[in-house]
Amino acid sequence: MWAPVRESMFLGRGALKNFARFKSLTLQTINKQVLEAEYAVRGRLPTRAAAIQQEISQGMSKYPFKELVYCNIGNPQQVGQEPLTFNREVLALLTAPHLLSNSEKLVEQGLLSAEAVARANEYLEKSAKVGAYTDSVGFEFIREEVCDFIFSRDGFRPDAKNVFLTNGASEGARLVMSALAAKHLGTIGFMAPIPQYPLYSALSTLMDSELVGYYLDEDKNWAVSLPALNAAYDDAVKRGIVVRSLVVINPGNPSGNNLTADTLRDVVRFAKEKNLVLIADEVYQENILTKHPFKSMSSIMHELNLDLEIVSLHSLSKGFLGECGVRGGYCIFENFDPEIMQQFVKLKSIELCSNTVGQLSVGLMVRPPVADAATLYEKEKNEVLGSLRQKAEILRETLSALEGISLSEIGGAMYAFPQVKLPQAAIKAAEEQGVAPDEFYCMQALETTGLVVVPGSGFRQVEGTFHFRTTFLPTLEKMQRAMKSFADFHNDFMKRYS
Amino acid sequence: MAQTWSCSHADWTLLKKESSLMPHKFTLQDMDNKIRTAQYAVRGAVPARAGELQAKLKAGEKLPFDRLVFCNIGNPHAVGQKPITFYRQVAAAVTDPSLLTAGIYPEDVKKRATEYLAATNNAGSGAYTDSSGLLLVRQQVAEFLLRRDGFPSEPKDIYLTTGASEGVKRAISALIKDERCGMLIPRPQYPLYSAALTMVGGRIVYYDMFEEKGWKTTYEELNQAANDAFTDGIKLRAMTVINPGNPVGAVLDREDVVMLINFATEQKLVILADEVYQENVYREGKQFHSFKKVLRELQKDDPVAYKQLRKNRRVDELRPAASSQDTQLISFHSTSKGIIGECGQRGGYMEYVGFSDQVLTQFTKMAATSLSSNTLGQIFVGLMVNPPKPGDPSHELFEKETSAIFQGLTRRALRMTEALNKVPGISSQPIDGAMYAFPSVQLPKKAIEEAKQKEQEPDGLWCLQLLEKTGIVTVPGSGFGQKEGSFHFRTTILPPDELLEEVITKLTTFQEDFMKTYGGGGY
Repeated sequence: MWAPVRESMFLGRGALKNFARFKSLTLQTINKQVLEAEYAVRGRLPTRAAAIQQEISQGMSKYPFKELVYCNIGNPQQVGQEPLTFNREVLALLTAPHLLSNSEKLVEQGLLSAEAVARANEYLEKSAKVGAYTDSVGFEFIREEVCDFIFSRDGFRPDAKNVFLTNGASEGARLVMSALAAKHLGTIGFMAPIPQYPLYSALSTLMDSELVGYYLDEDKNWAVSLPALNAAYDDAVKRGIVVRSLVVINPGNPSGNNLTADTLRDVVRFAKEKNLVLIADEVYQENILTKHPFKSMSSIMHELNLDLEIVSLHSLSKGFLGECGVRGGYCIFENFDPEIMQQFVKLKSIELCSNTVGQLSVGLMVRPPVADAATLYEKEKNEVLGSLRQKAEILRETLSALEGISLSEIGGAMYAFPQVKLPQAAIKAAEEQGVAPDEFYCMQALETTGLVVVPGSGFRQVEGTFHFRTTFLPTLEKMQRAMKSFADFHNDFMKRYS
Repeated sequence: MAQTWSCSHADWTLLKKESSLMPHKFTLQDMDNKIRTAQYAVRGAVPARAGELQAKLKAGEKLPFDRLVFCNIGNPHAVGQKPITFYRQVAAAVTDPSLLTAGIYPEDVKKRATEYLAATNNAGSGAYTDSSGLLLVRQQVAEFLLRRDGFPSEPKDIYLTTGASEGVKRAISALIKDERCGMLIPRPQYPLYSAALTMVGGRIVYYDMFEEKGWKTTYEELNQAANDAFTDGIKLRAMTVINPGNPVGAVLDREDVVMLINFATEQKLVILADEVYQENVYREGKQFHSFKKVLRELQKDDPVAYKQLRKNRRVDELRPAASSQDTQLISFHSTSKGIIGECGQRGGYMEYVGFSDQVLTQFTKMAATSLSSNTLGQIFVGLMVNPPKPGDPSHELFEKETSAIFQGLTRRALRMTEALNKVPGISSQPIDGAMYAFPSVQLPKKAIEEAKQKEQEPDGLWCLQLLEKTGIVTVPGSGFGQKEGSFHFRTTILPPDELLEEVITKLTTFQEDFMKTYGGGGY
């Protein structure tokens, strides 16, 4: 038996250094892509906010505010939004089916609707055992319900085989991008909007691919424009990037717009012309504040009769459900090569299946109640959407009135992405601290008002411009207070650095 | 301009010249190679065929059996195991808190549900949590680990994940820096490891476990594997151990764990300890020894390094390269197995042992890109590690339910081992733990040849025929890796007793027929 061979034995002067490097996994040895990936939504600013929260909870309040107002993340139920009664009743019954033996009494007491009981029973008859792994792609009967929903929304019915139930929409994006990121073809490029939801940039980095940013037009309510798409595409191709996919977020995050049908037609045609896989991130489709309605990219594709490879993403986390913590969503694949679909199924199966409660929630999302639970459901839905509309208006009112801030129309989603015309002195001060100017601004806002937002640099923006993303999810009362303090802070900041 | 493509310049020039050469559709050749080659047999060819047969049965077609028996996957609730009432009550109460006042739950259910709701700042199960998971649950895990091992754990080192699989993939992603990096994984293995490694472009280096030794490996074998890796220019970064084993069902003795830790320490490998079956130990005389506990015990007894650690805090002090003080370990657990069997909830956790805060920050960042795992799954982790105690209102029922499940598993583990060893041509090692049998099958030459002609693995052929003739769904040993020239299949021990008897009877008949059909040409 001989002693194990060690790399350290073969290094000359390096051997001493190796002896000093005691651990195996360190910042030096970790996968570089992990180091490089960034995700600002849970980055430095929210982390600082968490530290402040700790101090406040421990009674060390040296701040001019009593509580933080979290406007950094689209996490509705964390900031006061309630889940829908019908949905939770059904899920509770499916989680503890023995409750059904008591159901009549509970319905009499008004703690359950008869329709919730009926739906739970219906799903149980279809073998909705929440404790078992399902098919990798998810419960078939739920996938059929998704198809019914698409039919009533768009007028055509996808094949249930091509619907995957996922742990939130992020999983669907990750699945497709990992398959597309084929290093043997060269450096793969994923086109994504600037500004974008930083999941796409993080995933690109982790997959050693390049995010090919196309600028959204701030002057036109963050519209997607053909010239911008073409410019980004051509530039990438010139640099030798193999551009394989186009990500379009509609309604937009952080841009908060709802694209018109004309724009969507341009987008779909562009994707087809360049043979790009279109990733249609449509998780905010229920959050519409414009007069013109939401149109799915898939429906536009069908309208134009184009054979485009498209993945459409939806999620429980947004809309009026706000069920972020349940982690549910779906993706629908259209026009993909059958062998590729097999590969997607394979990839899905490696993690067995997404959580069952999330899968069942998707069914509840796409097939709302129609009987005795419908009235309360409608009421709750309208309350949430109405409140969002009100709060968006407060945001718009406050921010547009401020000198040095310009705000595009909030057409959808849950965010505003105002531009701040930071004075030179502020930019300089930020640079001296080694911090991005908008982060500098947002950090001061946090320490002064308790408002937690995300600096625009986390979403990317035109060089030399500064933005921040704020949600309008906290309660009306909190939003009003926060906006008032913020207005004071902003005016003071601009004065100090003028 | 520096060019960093991996396809040849000639190819690229050709591609550039004719953009119409860009494939019209995204096809296999455009797909990332690593993703394309990754395999996961547990949901591979045999279960896929089972799906087709299931559809036929539903459509009323006449088959040689009237129902399928899914023995291919550790999915207890799908084959009749009952969920634990207390856990489901708390989960339902968290899901719909309005029922808390309905007088339908025992006091301890209400208390636990209220605690978990408070832990979410009363946002409930519908809000994203911290990326590492609810603090209360991580505290409960830390307390559980202290009770289990006698050594403290810190919530900051514990991350809640979507099943253990998510944690495994995250760890492997971080560990594999480039294509020279590799990992030691056991053969046979649970094929998540080979798939995950393949997908990130890491090199797989197998270390064999020996059937005749009760599926144990040896120091020599590990050494050989490491040396072979070194010769091939592979930089080994980590080593996977699955204990209790999947598919092999072996439970390591303490000296095995010591040997593995020492080896990893010498080679500076991060240990990935997959311990999801730690509650499934059946065999008399066998006990679960966690890698964390044994590592801490070794660290306590490591006099040189321990004393030096106490005395000298300067990092650049010259120390022996191999010290258990520096060993890094990631332990994985899940709510899918054990007695709880809640596969569909996708609950799990990982504990990082021996990692700097800066590295943990990176892991937190990786977790943040998926925001957080599902809140209910996190709560199931808390429930699993913190069950009702004697004296609690729910304790009696809890004990009754869990004992029944555990006794059932123990009984069937024994029965399966005994029964399989009576089937001609099949032999099984004792099932110490986990949920599977991994018996070897002697295949006649004619069967092997037929398989080769059909471009199938010989045990794949056997499993497919078993499926077509009896409706029993298993996974061929080739999906897990095995010694060259040997053949196995993995079956679970999960179907309820009567169904298990049916499986045994049908399997025996099938095997007898199989040997008659193919037996002519010898073995």
